[in-house]
Amino acid sequence: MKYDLSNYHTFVAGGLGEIGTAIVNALVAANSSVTILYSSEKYSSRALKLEQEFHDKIDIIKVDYLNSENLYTNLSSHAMKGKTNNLVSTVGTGKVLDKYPHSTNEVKRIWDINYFSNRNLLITLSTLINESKQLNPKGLSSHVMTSSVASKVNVNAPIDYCSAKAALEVLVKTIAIRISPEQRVNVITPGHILTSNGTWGLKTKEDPIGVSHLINSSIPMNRLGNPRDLASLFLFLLSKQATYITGSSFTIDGGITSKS
Amino acid sequence: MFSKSIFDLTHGAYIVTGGSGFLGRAHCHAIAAFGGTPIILDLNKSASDILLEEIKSEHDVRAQVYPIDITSKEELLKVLAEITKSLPIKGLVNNAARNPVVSRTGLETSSRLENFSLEDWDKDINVGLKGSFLCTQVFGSHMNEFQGGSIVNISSDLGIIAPKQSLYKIENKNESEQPVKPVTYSIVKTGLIGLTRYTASYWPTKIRCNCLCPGGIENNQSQSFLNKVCAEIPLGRLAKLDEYGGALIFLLSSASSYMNGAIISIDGGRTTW
Repeated sequence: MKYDLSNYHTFVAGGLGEIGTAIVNALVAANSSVTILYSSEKYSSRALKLEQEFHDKIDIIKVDYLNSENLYTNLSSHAMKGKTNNLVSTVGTGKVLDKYPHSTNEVKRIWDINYFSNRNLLITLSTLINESKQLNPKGLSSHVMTSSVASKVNVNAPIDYCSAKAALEVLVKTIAIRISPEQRVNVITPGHILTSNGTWGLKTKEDPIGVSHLINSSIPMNRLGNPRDLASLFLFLLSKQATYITGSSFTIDGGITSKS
Repeated sequence: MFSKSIFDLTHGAYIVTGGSGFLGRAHCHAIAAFGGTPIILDLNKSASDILLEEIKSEHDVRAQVYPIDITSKEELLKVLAEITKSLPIKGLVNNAARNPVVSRTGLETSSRLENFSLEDWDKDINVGLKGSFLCTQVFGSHMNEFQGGSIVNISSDLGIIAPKQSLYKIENKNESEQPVKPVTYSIVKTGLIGLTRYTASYWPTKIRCNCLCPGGIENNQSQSFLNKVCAEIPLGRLAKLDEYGGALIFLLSSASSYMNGAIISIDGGRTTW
C-alpha cells in the first residue's frame, strides 16, 4: 500500500519531539506538505535545524496551544487552500514535576498540556476547515490525536495524566460526530514508547534491569514500542484507506491491554 | 526510513475463511493486490473457483481454493500440509460466519429469540466460533512454530453494541412476528473479540492477533432500511465493499508490527457512543 498524500497539508503539533519527527518524516515521504507546530522554547534550536534540512517541504511555527485566538491566526495563515488540511497531534506529557497528591498548579499544567492544548488544536482547525470548503475540497480531512493506554488500564502513570487522556478520548468521540461526515477524527492509544528523552528513555537509563523485568512481565510482545511503530498508524488513518473510520480509538501497545 | 515495502505480502500464504463470501472476496482481492497468495477456505466451490480466476486475471496471483468444512480439524490439518508444500503461511483471516439476511422470507419468526432453534444455534456457533478456534489452533500453532505471522479476526460493530432491532422492522406485522438479528450473531462476534485478546497474549513474540469490527456494507438494501441505518452512523452512509481492505492489509503486514490485541472499529462512527 503506497500512501500518496500529495494533495494533503498536515499540521503536526508536537512535531519536534522524537515521535513527531518520525511522523513528519513519514508524511514527507508520502508527499504531504507539513506545518510543524511547537510551543516550547526548548525546541527552538531543533526547529532551526529541521527547517534547514527540509526547507522546501515543511514550515515550522511557534504557537500558544492554550490561546485559541493565537492558534486560529496561525492555523489560518498556514492552512493551504485547495489541499486536504489535517491535524496530527502528539502533544502530551507523562512527566509530573512534584509528588502525589500534586499541587494545583501541577495538576493544571498536566491538564493544559494533555487535554486543553489538544482540545484547542482540534476545535480550532476543524472549525477553520468547516468555514472554508477550500481547506477540505474533497471532504477527506482527517485528524489524529494521541492518547495513552494509561487512559484504559493501570500502568502506574500519574493520575491526572490518566484522567486527562481519558477525557481526550471522549473529546475525540464527541467531536467525531459533530464534524462528520466532512471531516474525520480518531485517536491513537500507544503503550510504552521508547524515546531517548521521554519517560521510557529516562527509565531505561535509570533502571535498565527494572525496565527489562517490566517489559518481560507486562508487554506480550516483549519490547517497548518505537516512534516508527506509531508513524505508520498515523499515516493509515490520514489516508484514503481509512475513509470509513471516525471516532475510533486505536490501541498500539504490543498487547498490554489484552493481557490486563 | 519509511518504505512502502512495509505493506508487502509477497512470498506468503494468507488464509481467508469464508473466502468466497461477500466480504471474504474483498479480503482475498486486497491480499492479492499486495502480492500475497490468498488461500480460500469456503464450502462454496463454484464461487471460489470464479474468485480464483478473477484473482489470477486481475492481480496475476495464483490463489488456492480448499472447499472444506472449517469445523473439521482433520480437514484443516490436510489443508495445512498441502499449503506448506509450496508456501509459508504468514497470515490467517478468521472471516467465516453465518449471517443470513434478516429480511429473508421465512426467517422472520425463526430468527426471534423466543423461537431460535438449537439447530441454528449449533450451526452458527460452530462456523463462527469453533471454526475460528480450530483455524487459530491449526494455522496459528504452525506459524508460531515456524516463521510467525498475523491473525486478523473479523468481528462486527455488533460485537461491540447490541443490534438495533427496529432497523429490521416490517410495517403491519405484530411485534412477535417481527424479524430480528439472530442472537448468535452478537455472541459469535463478541466471542471473536475474546479470542483476539486471548490469542494476542498467547504467542506474543511470533504471532500478532488483532480484530476488525466492520459496520454494514452497501449491498442493494432497501431504501427504507438505508434511511434508518444511515441515521445511526455519523458518516451518514454504509461502507463501500473496498473500504476494509486497507485496514486488513495494514494488520496483516509489517506496517502494524507493534499492534497486538487491538480491537478496531471501522463503522463510520456508529459505535462511537
